[in-house]
Amino acid sequence: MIREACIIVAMFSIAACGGSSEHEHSAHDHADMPAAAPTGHSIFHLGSKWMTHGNDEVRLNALAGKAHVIAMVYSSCEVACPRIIADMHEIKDKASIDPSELGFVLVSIDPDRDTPDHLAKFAERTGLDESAWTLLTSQDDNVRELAAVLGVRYRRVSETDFAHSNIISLINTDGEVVHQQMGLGSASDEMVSAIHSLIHGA
Amino acid sequence: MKLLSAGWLILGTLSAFGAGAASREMSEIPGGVYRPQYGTKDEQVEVESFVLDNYAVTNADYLEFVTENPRWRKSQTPQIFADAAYLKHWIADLDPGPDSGPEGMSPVTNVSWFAARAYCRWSGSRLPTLAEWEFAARASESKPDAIGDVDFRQRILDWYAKPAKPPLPKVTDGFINVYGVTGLHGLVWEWVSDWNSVLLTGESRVDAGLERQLFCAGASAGSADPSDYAAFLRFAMRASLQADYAVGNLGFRCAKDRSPN
Amino acid sequence: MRVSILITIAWLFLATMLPATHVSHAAEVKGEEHAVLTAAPSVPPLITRKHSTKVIVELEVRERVGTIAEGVEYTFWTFGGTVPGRFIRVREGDQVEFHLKNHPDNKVPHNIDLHAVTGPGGGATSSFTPPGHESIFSFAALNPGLYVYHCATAPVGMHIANGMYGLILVDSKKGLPKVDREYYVMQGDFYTVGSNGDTGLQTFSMEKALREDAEYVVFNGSVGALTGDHALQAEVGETVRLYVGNGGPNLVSSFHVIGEIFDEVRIEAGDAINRNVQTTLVPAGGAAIVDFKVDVPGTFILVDHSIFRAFNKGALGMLKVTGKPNTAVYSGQQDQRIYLPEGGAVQTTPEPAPKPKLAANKAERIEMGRGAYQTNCVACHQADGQGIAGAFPPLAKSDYLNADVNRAIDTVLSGLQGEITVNGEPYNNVMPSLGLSDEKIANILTYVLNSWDNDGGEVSPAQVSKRRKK
Repeated sequence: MIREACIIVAMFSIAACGGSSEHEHSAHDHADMPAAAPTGHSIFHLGSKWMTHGNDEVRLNALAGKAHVIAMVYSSCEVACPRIIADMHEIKDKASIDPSELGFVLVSIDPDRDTPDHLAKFAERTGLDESAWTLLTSQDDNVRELAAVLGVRYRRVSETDFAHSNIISLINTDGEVVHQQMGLGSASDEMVSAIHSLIHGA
Repeated sequence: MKLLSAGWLILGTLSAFGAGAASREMSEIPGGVYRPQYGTKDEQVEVESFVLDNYAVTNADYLEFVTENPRWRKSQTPQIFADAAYLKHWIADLDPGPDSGPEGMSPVTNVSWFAARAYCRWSGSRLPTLAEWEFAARASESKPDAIGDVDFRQRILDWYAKPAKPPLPKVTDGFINVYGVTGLHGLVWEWVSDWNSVLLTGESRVDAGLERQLFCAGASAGSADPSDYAAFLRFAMRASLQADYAVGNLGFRCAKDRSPN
Repeated sequence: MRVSILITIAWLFLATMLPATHVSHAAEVKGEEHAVLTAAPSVPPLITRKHSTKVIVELEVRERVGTIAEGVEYTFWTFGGTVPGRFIRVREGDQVEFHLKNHPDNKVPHNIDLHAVTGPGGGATSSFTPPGHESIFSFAALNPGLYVYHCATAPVGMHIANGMYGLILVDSKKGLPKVDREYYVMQGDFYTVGSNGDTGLQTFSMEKALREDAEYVVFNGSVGALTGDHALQAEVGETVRLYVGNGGPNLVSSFHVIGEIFDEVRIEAGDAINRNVQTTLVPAGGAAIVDFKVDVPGTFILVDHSIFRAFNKGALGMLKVTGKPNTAVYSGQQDQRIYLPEGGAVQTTPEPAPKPKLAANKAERIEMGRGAYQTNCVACHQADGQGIAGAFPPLAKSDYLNADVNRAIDTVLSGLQGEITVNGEPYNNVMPSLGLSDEKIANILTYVLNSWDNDGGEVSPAQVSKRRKK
């Protein structure tokens, strides 16, 4: 147990060091944002850098221009996360929207383990279609910040596991959260109709 | 043990209140192990040595920050980073007004987690982790771990029985703990970096449910010390927050890793 | 935007949790209205509409300093500014949209668990709100009855112990039988660091709360909230309904009205009706509805019949009934049957811890005596010193009292039994020894002597001590 605690401490120490070098004077960070300023509630305000499972470095505004369904999981998760992903599959099937208009994003809350390579293998193993799914990993500090924006709470509880909120969020093309589905196995009807009204209009 | 943060010393003197030097001192908190408020009985959290602000960040301090960083002025900050209550006790972007206390020495409150985090980065530091904060807050004037003392606990609880209206007391009011840190209890709640590691909505369909007992069965099963009500109040407070929330009794202070030497 | 998400969640929650038959209720909901909320002892007006509607409830949490007993302050955490919280009244089948607001000056987050809600947490999971924020959730009022609501934020016990409870009535579609008067009475136990009667701002004692060792047990949030000028009122011949709740946090109430028999009790506020009940149990976190007709005038005393709570900790209220005597029901001339469990034996109560402050002069003695009188004497001799005709003799302008100060001291010291005549009226009853300190007895008597047209003067602790040694 002590060892586990050490991991938690280490996790935050690394985050703090790594994060501050990148984000020092973060107030000025966003000068290099794209021309169109993000709306007030846009997650594109976050300047953090992420790696995709295809090993590309991106910022969150790479998600601009297309709606996305996002959840935060970790690849070694055995109980809740497969169910979240199953719920996302159900949403994807019911919504039946072309991947060019609706993407699906999994963000790892376990960046120590979930390297881009690891995530690529996970995507392959679980049959996540390349055209629709994006898997992201970053530094702990950036993950915690995105979690804060999405209202996801998580805590490492053992060497291999996390306690975490089960929340699936829908963001629009401007990066604003427009709907959230809470809980495992919740009825997806609301989410599907939120997607339809977003993409086809009300 | 007391260190002066270099980051603080090079800051400009833009404050309308002059230099609030008292708020720029930090103390080293030697690392150690403690049992967290909840989790299994034998769970231990190890905290490495770190350095913590002696005082909560004041309105005067925060004025310097927003003066240098227009993005964090109340009229400029994107809503995603701070809700409508952000700095609501300030009169204007660069005018903290009377509710900021004498010479702006009350702790700055009505600041979101994003804002607190940005401030600490700007000042060359970071928010303390939840574990670090809780570890440092176990100390009384005379000993590093006074949580078992009934009197110490009662003193902390008594704060909740005294409603606080603005302006809040000065950050220098209150007892100095054995490390040299003031105001961890009895002044304001404080943000920590991983406040959202507390899963307490109690809704098992939303959460993994590991800490449900803290929420509804309330303060008993599974907690390290069921009579430490003050700690329950802190965890409940953290659990109720979102990152953009600005709250009248919620401020922050910054921390750093211990310097290499 | 967050608010809209919350609403969505709440509706989602309803849609997934409710059986199909209940969802069909939602279709019948017509129009909307804002709930009228009342502070105890008032009850919102009867609902006369015959259809379900959307009811909007707006409840604000305030943490505020109030009076728990004469001279004793306490920081209450309240639903709506008072203890108990505001009474909410809706109708079976209504759709309730609940707005819980946490005032910006408050220190801690709060939520609400309404026992009338069918769903996890009774609303608590959807209403967890930090200071300066508001949560909105909806529920269907499926089951008629009288329900407790309370805060369920950790540490739950402390939130409840600070006064965070109230009642919500879901009227059945048929409605309860009509009565002339409806009142809201709710018991609660309080745990202060100082002992009962210690003045000043008292703080919550978690040690005592854990031991379930209450310093105060009160109706409607404070000692005396239902006595004297605040007594409940009724007229002879009327039917009275009490919505009785118990917030706890710890104690179960043995609710009793001295001198009345409950004609009907809706046991635990459910459907079962028990008739001709003397004392009904009101569990912590539970309620009861008691109906009775008042046939004769007089003052009827509401108590938790765990009787030390009533006479020593504050669980005592009054219902004053005015109107013509009905000698067929009650003659007024016979022996009283007021409840005094130990009969003629002298009782002693443990001496409370010494008060930190002693009276320095006569004015202080009178002032401190006033508080002690409220705690120890007012139940029988009344706030105005008039006593209760036929039962408890008056202290106001009392010939018996003014004639002999030493006799008065002896009476308070040792109690009194047997027939005496006061202002021309005979009284034959029992007054117990209250086990008070010399200081307290001196204060009380000095207060009494200097009140209500009595002859004045001062009794010193030394005088009392001298009589005690006799």
